[in-house]
Amino acid sequence: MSTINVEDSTDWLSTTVPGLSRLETSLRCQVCRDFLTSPMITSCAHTFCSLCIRKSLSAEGKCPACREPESVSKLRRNWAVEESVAAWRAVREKVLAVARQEGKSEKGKKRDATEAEMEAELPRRTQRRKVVAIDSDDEEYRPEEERNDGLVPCPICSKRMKEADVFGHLDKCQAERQQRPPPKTAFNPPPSSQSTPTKRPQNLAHANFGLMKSEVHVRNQLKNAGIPAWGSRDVMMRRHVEWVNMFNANNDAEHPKPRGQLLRELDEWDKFQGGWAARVKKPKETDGQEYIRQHKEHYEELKAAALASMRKAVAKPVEEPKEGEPGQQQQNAPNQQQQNEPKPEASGPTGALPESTPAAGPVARADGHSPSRSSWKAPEW
Amino acid sequence: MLATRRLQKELQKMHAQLAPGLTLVKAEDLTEWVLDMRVLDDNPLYTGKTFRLKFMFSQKYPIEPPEVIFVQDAEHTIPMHPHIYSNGIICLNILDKEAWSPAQNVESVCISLQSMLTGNDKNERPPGDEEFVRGNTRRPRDINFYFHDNAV
Repeated sequence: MSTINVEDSTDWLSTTVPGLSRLETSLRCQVCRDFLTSPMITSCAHTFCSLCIRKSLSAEGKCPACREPESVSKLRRNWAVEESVAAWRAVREKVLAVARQEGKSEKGKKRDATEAEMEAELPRRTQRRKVVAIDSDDEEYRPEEERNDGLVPCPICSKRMKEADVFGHLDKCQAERQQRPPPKTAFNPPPSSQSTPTKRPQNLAHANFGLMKSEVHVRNQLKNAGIPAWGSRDVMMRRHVEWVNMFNANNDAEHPKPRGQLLRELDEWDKFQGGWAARVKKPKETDGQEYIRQHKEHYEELKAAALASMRKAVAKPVEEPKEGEPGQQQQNAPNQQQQNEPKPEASGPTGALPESTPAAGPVARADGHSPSRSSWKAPEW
Repeated sequence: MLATRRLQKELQKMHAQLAPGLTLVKAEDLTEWVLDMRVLDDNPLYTGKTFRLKFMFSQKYPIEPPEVIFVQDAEHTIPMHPHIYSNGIICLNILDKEAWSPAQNVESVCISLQSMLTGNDKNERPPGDEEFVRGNTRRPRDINFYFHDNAV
């Protein structure tokens, strides 16, 4: 997690085999865009990293790819994909180097040793691939011209021959093949991973915090799980969810990490949360003070203006009540405040605004205009 | 964490290859990106115009959706659309928690927005736009302006 790996499927676009970009995209998780780690298949047959799908489902119980409802209990491991990812990652760098170099030398019409090596290796590779293909569904997929040569392929080694020769060949071929290790094993889970489930601890269940009325219960839940139990209820709940997801995802891994390392990772997560929370809090405080400092002058201006207009309002209504009223309404109409405006015509100008509350005018109005702001502005004033 | 790695990968991908009509304008950090978007068909409402989008990512991205708004400045306007408010706020279900999916990404959001504009033939704002926009500018810097205007 500490090293940031920015290799991406787009690495292939500039090479001689841009099609590998698609292959690699299919081996990457749609959530984290990394290679699938402990891939899990959903009931809707989409595959994600164990941790990614667990986190996603914790946030919302739907498949990220197709939005079908899904639950953690339906997830199953996807061994075939895990094997493919491991195999691909093992050769990726080499293949990338070759694919890039080939592009360069093609431009310069220059061939170097690595390429020649690769070419020499090529026939062997393709042969191997053919053998493997027998077990896959690709059997029927043959280019047309190959099919029309009047020969038929051996169903085992796919060597092409006359139809009459096939039966004789089959006996030989089978015996030959049994001596070699069956290529199938490469795509099957290694025996070690098949025997592991017995050793693994049981998956943890997500706690139902909704039913826990007191914070003590939540705290106990964390203590029982053996993870740090400090912080607010919300922090503890999130930590528990994170822990359960991490723990269960680790259970899905071919080589689970020791518990101590998991706890360290949880600690890292915690720091990140704390750091993040602090970062969010701090600017708020400074912002408020800054704001006051910046706008003090303007506020004073407003205060003075309000005082002046109030004195005017107090003085005027006696002589010209009609002029005072529309003026007030104009100011108040957009505000829609609830404070003292239910009957502005009746007592607004005179009764509700005595001189004793000169500052109340602008302050209240400001809040009336910004309900969202009143919460953070109030304490400073 | 997850957000950082994921955004780095997205950025790299976007540098390498980006859907037609999209241009990455600014992505200096992993919290805020700016993209320019053109509508590809000849919808008379938007032809020849480039719109600017601002993406803001939280630490919970991609589990949670990014905040996306259209930006108005000297060269860019807010596209006319019955789901786009005149302050640039977009009413699109995939940008909402309910319909967002972590499998979405910046590019796919842009493409959704492109098609949202392409499919539109109404030269109008959402109902209640004026009120909403007024309500939404009730932030410190905007209030001063409002009051100033009102007081004068």
